[in-house]
Amino acid sequence: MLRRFGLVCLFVSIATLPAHAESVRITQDIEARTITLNGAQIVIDRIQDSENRLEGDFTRTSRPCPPFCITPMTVAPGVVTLGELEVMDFLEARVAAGDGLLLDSRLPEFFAKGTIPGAINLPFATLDPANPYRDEILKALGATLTGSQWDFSQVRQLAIFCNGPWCDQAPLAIRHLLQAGYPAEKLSYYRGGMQVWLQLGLSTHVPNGG
Amino acid sequence: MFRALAIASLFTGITVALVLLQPDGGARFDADGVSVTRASDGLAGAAYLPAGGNVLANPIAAPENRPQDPQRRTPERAATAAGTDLQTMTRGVLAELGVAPGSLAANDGTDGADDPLRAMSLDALTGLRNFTGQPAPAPAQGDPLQKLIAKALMAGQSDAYIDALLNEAAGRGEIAVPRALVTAEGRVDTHVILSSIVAQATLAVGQEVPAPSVPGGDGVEVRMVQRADKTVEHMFYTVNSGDSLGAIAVKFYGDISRYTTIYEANRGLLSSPDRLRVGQRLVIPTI
Repeated sequence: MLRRFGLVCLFVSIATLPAHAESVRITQDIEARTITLNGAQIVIDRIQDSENRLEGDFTRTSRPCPPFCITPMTVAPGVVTLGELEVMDFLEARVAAGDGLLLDSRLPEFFAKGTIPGAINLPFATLDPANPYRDEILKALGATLTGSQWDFSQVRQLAIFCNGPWCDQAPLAIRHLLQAGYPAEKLSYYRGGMQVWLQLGLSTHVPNGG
Repeated sequence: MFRALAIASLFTGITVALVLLQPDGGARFDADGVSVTRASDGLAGAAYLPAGGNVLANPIAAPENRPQDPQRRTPERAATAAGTDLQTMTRGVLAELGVAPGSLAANDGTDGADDPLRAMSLDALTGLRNFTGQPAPAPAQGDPLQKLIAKALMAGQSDAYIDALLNEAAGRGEIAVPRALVTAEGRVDTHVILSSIVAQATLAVGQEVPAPSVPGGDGVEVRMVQRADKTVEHMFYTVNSGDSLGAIAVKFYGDISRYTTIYEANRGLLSSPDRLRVGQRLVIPTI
């Protein structure tokens, strides 16, 4: 009798396991975010294995500084710093609406290994004033050049990130943009970057690979 | 007038050369000519063109002036950088004139293939444009400035006439003038535009552009500074009336796109390449 009860209990707990599958939610109310970008749906949720741990490079604690120094919370006056929820809001409110871009400012080889869903690659080096193609990039972001006068009134809202709070590439990209005349209110900084995004088990996207 | 004649004679020279070298030379020139005038794929397409292909037809892909002299060949990023607008404009004018600067690239396989920043920028632009659905910009040959110059040159107008024409058009805001071509008086530096076109046309037919004469004359000042182990030469130039940054670059380096070298060395004085003032004493870096 006792054994049969035990078996029933076991059966019940196994049977109800899928019901616990979404026990790692984004917030108490939100299980996943589904956002439609350019006709394609992206889903952001979290890894459901509560025993999952990071492996490899993102487990390192003590990268040499310089160059991997701790970045400030606010990268420049007027440039808002975002957390993960705000990044998702940005994707939904701005990127999906076509007036914002989520930019991965890391070099292409890092971007290729995995990025935040919906992000596009704009390596920080391409925004350097010495880059001959920088003006074209500014134009692609919505700036217009008349004679020698830049007009940034129609530029897109940008959210920029890199590898995380120990990575200066996104702050550098933001400084370059500000120096070029990009308005601070059109820029935002996701300081957590890939480090915190991965730490929270959030979905990533491997460009051209799946 | 002199320059218009020079262009005209070059043009004739090319035609003669074409007639003489008809079997292969002629065919290739034609092919280049076609792609220059028909290139409608903007930057995005250029990213995937093979090295040495006719990337020159593209406004952004236009590489810097390539003198044959290996010493002056050392490509400097910054110079390539901001020189692009001048080079593009010059090539645009030549394309309007029917001289295909594209033939320049054909015998030079190093067309930016070894430049990671260029590849990265082009990829980023492709990504941005794919995502935002923006079309790549139209090639620069429709630029009003280029059309104006080409038309005047073909009509055999004098330098003075072209100068007046450009300044009037610029005054009415009909043409956009590259910043390095604005003189200390705020005028268009027609002289440098025309010299640049002649130099490019010379290169396009495979001749060498004469190296600049050793700079001297008004406003040039050389100082020797004794350091612990060596003597360093510092050169200065005082801006004269009628100078543009492009003209000063040609004067000292023989290459208009080098104006960025001078601009970068004098950022403290110059807020922008078109803010030159008579009497300013510019540092001229040794390259």
